Amino acid sequence: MTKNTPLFPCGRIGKVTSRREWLCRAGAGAGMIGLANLFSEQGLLAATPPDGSSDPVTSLRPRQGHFPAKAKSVIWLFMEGAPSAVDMFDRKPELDKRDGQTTDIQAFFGNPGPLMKSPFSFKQYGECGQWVCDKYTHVAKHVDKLAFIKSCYSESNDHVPAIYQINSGLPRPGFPTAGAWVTYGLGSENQNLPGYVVMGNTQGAKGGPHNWGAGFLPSTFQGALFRSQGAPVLNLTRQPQVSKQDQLAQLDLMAKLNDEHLRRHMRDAEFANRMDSFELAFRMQKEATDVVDLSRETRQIHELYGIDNPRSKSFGSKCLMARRLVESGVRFVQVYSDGEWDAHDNLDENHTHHCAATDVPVAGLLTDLEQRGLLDSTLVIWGGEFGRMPISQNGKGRDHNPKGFLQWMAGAGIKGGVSYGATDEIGYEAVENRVSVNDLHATILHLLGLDHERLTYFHNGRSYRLTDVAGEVIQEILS
Amino acid sequence: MAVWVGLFGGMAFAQTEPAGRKSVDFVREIQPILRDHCYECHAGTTEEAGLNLGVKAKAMRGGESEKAIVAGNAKESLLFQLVSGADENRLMPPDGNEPLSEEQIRLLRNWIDQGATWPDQTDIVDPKLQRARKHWAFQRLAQTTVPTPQSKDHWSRGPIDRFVRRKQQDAGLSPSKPADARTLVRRLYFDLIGLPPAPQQIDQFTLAHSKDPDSAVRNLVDRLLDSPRYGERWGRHWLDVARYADSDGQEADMDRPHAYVYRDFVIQAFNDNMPYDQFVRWQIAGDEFEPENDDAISATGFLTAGPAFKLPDSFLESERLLNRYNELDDVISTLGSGLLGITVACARCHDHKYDAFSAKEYYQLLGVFHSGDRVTAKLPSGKEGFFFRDFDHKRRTTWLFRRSDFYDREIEVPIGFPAMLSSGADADEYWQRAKDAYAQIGEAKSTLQRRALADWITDTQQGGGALLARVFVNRVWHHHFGKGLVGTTSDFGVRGDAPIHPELLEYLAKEFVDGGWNLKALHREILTSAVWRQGSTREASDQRGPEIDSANHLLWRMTPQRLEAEVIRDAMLAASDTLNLQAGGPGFKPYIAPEANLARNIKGEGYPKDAPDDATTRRRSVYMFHKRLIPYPMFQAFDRPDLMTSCAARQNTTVAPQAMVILNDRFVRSVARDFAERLVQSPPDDSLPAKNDLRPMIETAFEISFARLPTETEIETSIQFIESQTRARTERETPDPRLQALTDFCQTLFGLNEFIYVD
Repeated sequence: MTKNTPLFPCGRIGKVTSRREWLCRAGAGAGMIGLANLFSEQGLLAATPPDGSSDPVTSLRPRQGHFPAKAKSVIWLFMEGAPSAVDMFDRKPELDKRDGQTTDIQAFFGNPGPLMKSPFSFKQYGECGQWVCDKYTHVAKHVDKLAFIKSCYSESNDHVPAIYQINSGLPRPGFPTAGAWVTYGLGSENQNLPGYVVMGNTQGAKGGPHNWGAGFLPSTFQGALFRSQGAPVLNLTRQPQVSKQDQLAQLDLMAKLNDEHLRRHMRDAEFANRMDSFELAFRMQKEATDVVDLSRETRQIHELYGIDNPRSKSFGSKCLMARRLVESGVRFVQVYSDGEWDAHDNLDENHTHHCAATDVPVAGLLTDLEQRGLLDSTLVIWGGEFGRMPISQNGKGRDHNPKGFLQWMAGAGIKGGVSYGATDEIGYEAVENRVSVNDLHATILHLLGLDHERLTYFHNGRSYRLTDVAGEVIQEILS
Repeated sequence: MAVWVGLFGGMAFAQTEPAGRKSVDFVREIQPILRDHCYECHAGTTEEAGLNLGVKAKAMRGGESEKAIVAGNAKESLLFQLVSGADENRLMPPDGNEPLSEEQIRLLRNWIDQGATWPDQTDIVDPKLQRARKHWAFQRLAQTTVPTPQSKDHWSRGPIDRFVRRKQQDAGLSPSKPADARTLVRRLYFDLIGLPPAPQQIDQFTLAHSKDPDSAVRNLVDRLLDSPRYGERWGRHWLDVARYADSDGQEADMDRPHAYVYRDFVIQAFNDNMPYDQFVRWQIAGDEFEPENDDAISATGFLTAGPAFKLPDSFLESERLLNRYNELDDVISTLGSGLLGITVACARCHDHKYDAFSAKEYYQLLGVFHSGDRVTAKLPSGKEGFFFRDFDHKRRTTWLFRRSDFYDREIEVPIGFPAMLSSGADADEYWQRAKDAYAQIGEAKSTLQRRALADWITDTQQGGGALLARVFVNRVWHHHFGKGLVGTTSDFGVRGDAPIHPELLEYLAKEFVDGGWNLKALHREILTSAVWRQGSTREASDQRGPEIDSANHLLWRMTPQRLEAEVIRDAMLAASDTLNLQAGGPGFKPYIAPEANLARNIKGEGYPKDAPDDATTRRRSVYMFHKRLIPYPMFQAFDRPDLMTSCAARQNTTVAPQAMVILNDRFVRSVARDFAERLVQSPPDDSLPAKNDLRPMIETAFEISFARLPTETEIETSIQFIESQTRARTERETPDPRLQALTDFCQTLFGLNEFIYVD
């Protein structure tokens, strides 16, 4: 092929007339028939333009990391509002003993009460003997797969800056989030779906789209907010006046008229990429709609995820969708819990409710990923934006606590059944092997084959990283 | 090959020559090695591990580890051990940096073995400042000699062309042929006012161009610069730099109903061609120059436009302080990268790693704004405004917070401006002059520190003015050509890109300042140049171009530019003839689909769920209300920055969500329908339109959309499409088949490359 012959493997220029058939075929091939065919179609599209002038940085095409990866994708179960470690996984006998004692701990909202023991009872599970409360018994069965990080800390006492920080490393809005960094570093396996999907809190997003924003990275890498019902993303549905056939005809016309323009020009890669983007958009309409169509799953699967139970239906649906997305090649999925684990007034009531909403779905997800062989290539993360105080608030609640909290990870590259780090004996402050948000991010990137010190982007005069100027990989939890 | 030979030669030399025979010269041979490889962490105020290799006494004393230099014994010297890789785990410079060459290691060894002679008076106390003093961007503006016109050069129109032509000739490249009249008229309209030319405007220009191309361009440039639409277009570029938005941006994301007074100030200032130095001074301290002037006070909206988050006083003090200092950091970061093209935020925790900007200078700059805050209050005229105001005339104490710890209050810092850009007067003198000047008009209500900074930053002789001018001129170039003469539009520091045409940039910056910081004159000079008027197509350009200079650094052709998000929307509205040109005033809130119109905890007025699509929401995009937590999806798809931080150069991505906007967005479809209705002059009947009815419609549609007429093939293709769509829709028995078919056609035009790119 000579340098100036605008002929692509898909036959864009050479055979414009076959375009419609080709699009029809690709559209019908997606979904039920399986993804192999689709991937091969994408393989063709993913070919770099022969002039090599395309800017790879803005593309979602798969890229090599810095070193071989353990994880191909991530499912991050984000427990918004901040669950309490001492009431779920981090049993503190000393807290039981000192129940009712006063302390000099300062609380965010003021009005600090005395130390308060957990209202829940605990049991040991698995070979590792990890303690889990009686509200999380389904997840408890998986403890031998989980690595608990019990010594996390972050900077802000307030939800929104804290959520910004757990997502972007900084307690301020406007910086690229972990999912954006990951897709910037690795692209995504499926070009018909966004590479970074967020299944939001049904009550809306506290702090808004900055929580899945790309900040100063190209907007290609910004998370796409999926709804769990109806059309999952914006502009996925055709306007009522436009049928699928109308749109195919439009794409056909567009290809013909663009062809004229392309002939006159230097083959600027942007022009060709734009034509690709319309085809992808067309196919995305089908594939994204299919991927969120949970009716394609069996009743047993619905039960496994707790979708049959009204209490866990919403979060269960999101977890199942997360599995379907990862299975389809999406790189990074973040699932928000609904409402808030923000137990200021009554910890027992709040956490009982949220445990019931998430216990079966989380356990179901782990089981399902494992039975499909996906757990070997998927990193699962569970945790909130900070933790909760060992002292009481408003009688039976607990206030925010960024000084010590817990996250767990499971799946690809994670050593199961281990605990790393510790808070003090009452669970107030991380004291042993303290883990910063930068450390968590460094570890996530590491599992994906990315060196957090080398994944950089130059902006306003400086090379930025997800981990800013800090962060160490937590080697002890790696398999 | 050459490297291999060189290395081999060096090693052979090292083996045959006994150490110490040839005396090593410290200044000539050793200091450059230290400067290039060690100073970054071990000199000036950065003394990692306690080691400073810039100053003899400190270097000889060593750092926290063993002695770095044992004179006369390289093997015992930690410096030599670490750079030579004797210990694999402790190699210096650290991972990620270029290791020393064999030759450099040999020189160091010999130098130490020979006694580590370090002559007096050769200490480098502040290497970054020394480097800054030599850095091109931090120099005073210099006079540049324009290349003399060559007798056989019929292409050049002015100095810009002669600078560019000279480099092209050196590379053996020819410029592209000039773009034709229709291409030029479209390019000029979009570039200067962000709207497409109407058919009669195209006719006017092409006629004038056929008689005298130079004067046709000159006249049209003048006319467009006089249009009030110009400020709306070029003001938008500035609003990106100013991270302007209409809400707070944090959790509550409260509306800022009066923020628009700043946006209107910017647009008006561009329209009035306010001298850029005054424009900058007012944005920093308008109230301290003209306390009775609405515009001058509104201009300080530059300082207040960033995200902010007011916490109730009952919340933890540390949390409130964190917010306060984040907000001040936003102000001076925007000032640094937005005005001066230097990064300052790093110095919040430590001295800047590369540029001579210290933590102390960071807090000195912060101190200028520490005595005030954003307020919503009355402007002198009585109108509500949103601007910056000092609490009173007393300066608030400012400390150097080591590692940004705002409870560390041991080191007070006085007012001060970056030394690397200063020569002569210090900050106190500027401050005194500001006080003296203000005393002429009355008693100061503020500290006048901002006025001092404003004077310093625009002072080309002793302050930051030269850099200010270079950064701005480069951005103007960037917007005209899609790429700056300096690629890193917000980084002119020592790590930024070097200019590709340094003399041209210097010439333009000097002319700009000498001409009174006159932006419109700069536009004229650029737009009437032959460089800017080149064609972008393959036929127009030198065939060797892609091989010799594929990145087009030498400007041998025009690079087609994609329209920005706002311009795409405005161009669609213009095509449909439904653009409402009402200027200024509060922003309008367009309809946003429920999928994107959600955010929890928003306080105050929420975003309307059912905003209408009518004339009130079909104003120019620059007047759209930007609520930070609910960004307009179409703009987000087309790379509008999130306006949380300063942005001087937008991303330019090509992704499927953009295509989904064109294909499926309700607004796009509805505007396409209006476009179709515009094409149908006679009332639509539902019968199949005859061929000769369609031809003029298609011609008009092409001319409106692309400023050119369609080819015969394009007409044929379009007719086939519209007829086939009308038939299909008639068969499906959907309403208005003919109008809908034309709408399908118009919507497709919006999706074409030719619509959203300017040749």
